[in-house]
Amino acid sequence: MDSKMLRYVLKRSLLAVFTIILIITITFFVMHAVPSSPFNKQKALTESVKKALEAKYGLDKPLGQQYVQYLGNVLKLDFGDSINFRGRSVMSLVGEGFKTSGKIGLIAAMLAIVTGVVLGALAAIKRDTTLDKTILVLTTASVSLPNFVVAIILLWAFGVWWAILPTRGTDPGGLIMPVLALMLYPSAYITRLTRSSMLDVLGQDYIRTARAKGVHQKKVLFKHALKNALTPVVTYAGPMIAYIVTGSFVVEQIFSVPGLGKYFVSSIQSSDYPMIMGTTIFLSLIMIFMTFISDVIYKILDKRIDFE
Amino acid sequence: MEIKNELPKKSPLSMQMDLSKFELATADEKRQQDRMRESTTFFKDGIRKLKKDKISISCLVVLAIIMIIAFGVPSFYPYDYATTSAGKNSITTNYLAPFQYSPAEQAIIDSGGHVFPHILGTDELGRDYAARVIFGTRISLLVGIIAAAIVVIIGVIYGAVSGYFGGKVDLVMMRIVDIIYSLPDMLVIILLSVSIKDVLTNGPLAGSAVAKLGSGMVSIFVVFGLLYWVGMARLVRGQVLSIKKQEFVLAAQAIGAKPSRIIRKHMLPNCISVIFISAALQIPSAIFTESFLSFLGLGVSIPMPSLGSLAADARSQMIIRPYLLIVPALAIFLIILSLNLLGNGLRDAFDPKLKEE
Repeated sequence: MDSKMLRYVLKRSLLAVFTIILIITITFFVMHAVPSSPFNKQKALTESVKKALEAKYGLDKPLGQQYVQYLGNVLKLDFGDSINFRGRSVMSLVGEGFKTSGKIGLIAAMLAIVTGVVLGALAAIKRDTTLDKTILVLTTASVSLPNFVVAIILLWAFGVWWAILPTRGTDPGGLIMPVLALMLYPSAYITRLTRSSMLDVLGQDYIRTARAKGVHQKKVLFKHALKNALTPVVTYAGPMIAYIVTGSFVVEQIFSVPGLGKYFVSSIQSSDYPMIMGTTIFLSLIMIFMTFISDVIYKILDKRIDFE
Repeated sequence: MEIKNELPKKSPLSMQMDLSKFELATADEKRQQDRMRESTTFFKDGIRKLKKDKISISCLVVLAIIMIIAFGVPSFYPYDYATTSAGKNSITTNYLAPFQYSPAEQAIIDSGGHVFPHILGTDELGRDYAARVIFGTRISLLVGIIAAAIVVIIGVIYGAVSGYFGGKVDLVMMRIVDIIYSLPDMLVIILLSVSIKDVLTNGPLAGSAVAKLGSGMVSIFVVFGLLYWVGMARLVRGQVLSIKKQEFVLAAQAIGAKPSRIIRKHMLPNCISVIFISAALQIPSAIFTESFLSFLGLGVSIPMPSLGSLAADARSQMIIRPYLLIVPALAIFLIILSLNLLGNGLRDAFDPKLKEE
């Protein structure tokens, strides 16, 4: 088992390295294929200034040479300086953005998992009651709105109408609404996931066996059923956490939160090449890492699955 | 040679039947072979179940009504989405409240003329908002349906080929899927819509029908064609893998059917329900993506509206004129909610695993 697991981890790590290199390559060439330069958007630069700037960021060299140089720099963990934010390194900008986005994201993800599992298990246990139906209607409704509409409605209701929460993310308590806006969709999704897998598990023979031998209802539900019902939640939770902690542009924009999502989108729009590469690599790393973690946990939880 | 009406003498080990041991069936026995009821196919059975499901039926009705409004009403509605109402440079026509008339229109009414009311008022350029919402619904629905169609076509073909041939082909094809899966989709969408915008405005396609759609729309279709089919491909591959081992496929192979025929005639009909359900849930995803792009200002090109762009534009007027946000948001909500519920209903009706408790 252990050597098998080790082999699995090794195989996945190799695949991850390969994927990252491929993502760097694709992003690099697609980014440069887009016919807009980071210096186009600024006020008319004279040809000589533009040349000098391009030389400064190494953009005057042939593309292949730039690519090789970039790969070399990545190996040295040097991601260069941002073009848009003069004099700031990509590392420090990404780190700064991630501090905020990661904090909100982790809180939102944890809350989403807890509420989702609790509500989903409740709905499954109380199947076909009013409670179950209410939960189903609410969750279906909350996955039916684009997140920026949800965020605007939250902002309007809590920030303007009742005026009980600050509307700016930088104010104290201002992160409550972004967290709410971020957690709505995943918590609804996890609720549905937990409910259906719990119903599936509750119909299995070993639950009937446990009940037949007189195991207490609580123990049946928590020890036998819930534990097994959570495996699909684990597979979903990994990528979900990765997605949420890397910041949502919409939520950060609406609640004025200085996070990673905002940097990411603005860097693409202004063709800030080093920033695009840096954020993309960072996002992909987190995504790959979280998927990997959730796969491993999934396999540990579910003994039936082989590591091959 | 004379033909005898009896069987030749049989050898002791022959399986040949001795007709004398049989007697004719009576009328009563024959009637047992009558069909009591039309035998149901898998598809008919699903439709029957779906018809019993009140929620799914009401969703279908809601969707039908929305479609009829979105595709029918603009043909006779007196206002269109692009022209500003009564007078081009009149500030007085901007942001009319619902059922309010501009001074020019009021003058016509006072002199005995008839002016169709602005049911939802007008927007910041004096365009009739109801007309914009209705046309925006049409655009959003079209985006959803076309994108879902793209996903289904590419995903089904890719998944079926990968699953059917298996082995090394499958391995390579699925690695490609894995890599596409881990590309940040927002990056690709935004990069594409920026570059497509350039191609459409300056390139050879400038002024064509494709250019009119706007860079956002075209890039959504390209992105769905490039990235979002992978989920569908995985799904179909899984189905094909499980169907492949069944006897009827072996039988088809034994009589020499070509792979393309086996996939088309024997495998796809058996996973059509899964494809159907997943396609219904693909439409909301496309509408969401479009509305996100509209929020970034990369969606449909001005003056064309979509529900997403209308909601995004209404953000600045949220406090004074909340209905500008609420109406398109409600339209999105109704469409997505109906599609989600319908998807669930379809799954309950067509998923063989869920048949009887």
